[in-house]
Amino acid sequence: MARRVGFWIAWYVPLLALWLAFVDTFNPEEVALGLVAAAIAATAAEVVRSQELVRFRMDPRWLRDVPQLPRQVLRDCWLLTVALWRHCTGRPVRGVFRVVPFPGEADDASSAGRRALVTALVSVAPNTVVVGVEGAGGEMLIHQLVPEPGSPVPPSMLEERNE
Amino acid sequence: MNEWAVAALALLAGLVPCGVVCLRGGPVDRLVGLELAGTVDTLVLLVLAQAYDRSIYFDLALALALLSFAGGLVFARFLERWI
Amino acid sequence: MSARDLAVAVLLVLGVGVTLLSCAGVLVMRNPYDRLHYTGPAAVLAPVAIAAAVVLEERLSAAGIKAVLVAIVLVTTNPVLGHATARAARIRQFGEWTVREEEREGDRP
Repeated sequence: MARRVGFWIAWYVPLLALWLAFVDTFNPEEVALGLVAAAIAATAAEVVRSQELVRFRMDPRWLRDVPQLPRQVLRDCWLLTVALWRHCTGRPVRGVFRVVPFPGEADDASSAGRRALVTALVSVAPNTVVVGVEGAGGEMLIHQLVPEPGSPVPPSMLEERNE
Repeated sequence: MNEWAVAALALLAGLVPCGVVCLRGGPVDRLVGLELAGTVDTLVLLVLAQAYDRSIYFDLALALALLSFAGGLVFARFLERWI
Repeated sequence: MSARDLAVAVLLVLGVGVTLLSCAGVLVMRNPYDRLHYTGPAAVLAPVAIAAAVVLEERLSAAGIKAVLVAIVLVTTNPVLGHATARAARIRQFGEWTVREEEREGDRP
């Protein structure tokens, strides 16, 4: 019960803050509406979460390499610009599918969280799109417009969560 | 006409290639064109909010960004299995 | 023109330029996977540049906060959408998305 209340509050506070940011006023009517609306939304979110349709567990250590992302995005945007120039000047560019290792593990909440996060993080940079992660096979299928050696997976994502 | 209005006009020109891709090519190509058009429209609304000093356009941009995302996912799911 | 106005102009030019480049890329590429890559710059770099321009003009007022929120939504949803679209394209092409034997041996278009 305490856990459910905790999740409810974790939804409620940011939703209320979002409401107040949007209405841009501390008018009592707006604040009252915000308190009610955030309560309804937080309740709906908690009801969905408690059904455990999807279970994720995250490890904050996986986010250690996130500060590298902006540089990777800028670099990839430059790669795509050069590729476009090449394509338009008679040297057609064609992307490729690549298989990169991604250690597979059990089908539990932590593994699901890790697969979801690595899919999102690797796909942020424009040159690479994750097609899928084969958990059992320990492989990740990606598509790259400009093929680059090595793996685009951040090193921190290769560490499994300690239970 | 301030620099924000000029930027909005320039962004609108980007909808033409998106429209061409939506008219030609296979179903997934058209979905990609649609997704990019949604992004461009969101940016146009952001810029117009500043051009016309209408803060409500920011809310429109946010709604469009969220709905484009949801709509794109629905289309992708349909294209996987049923269409 | 003050330094702030110049910075706003530069950020706007960057945001618009990156978006138009993305649109051109989506138009000229020949298959859906290659087109998909070009949705990235418009959804990741351009919103950040334009939101930064708004924040420079408006500071962190309601307008600035909303612009930042829009940028956050675009940046976080585009990778998911790209993944879903690539997966759908692959399933349509091969019946399933999983790794094929010839892809394990080397890079394949």
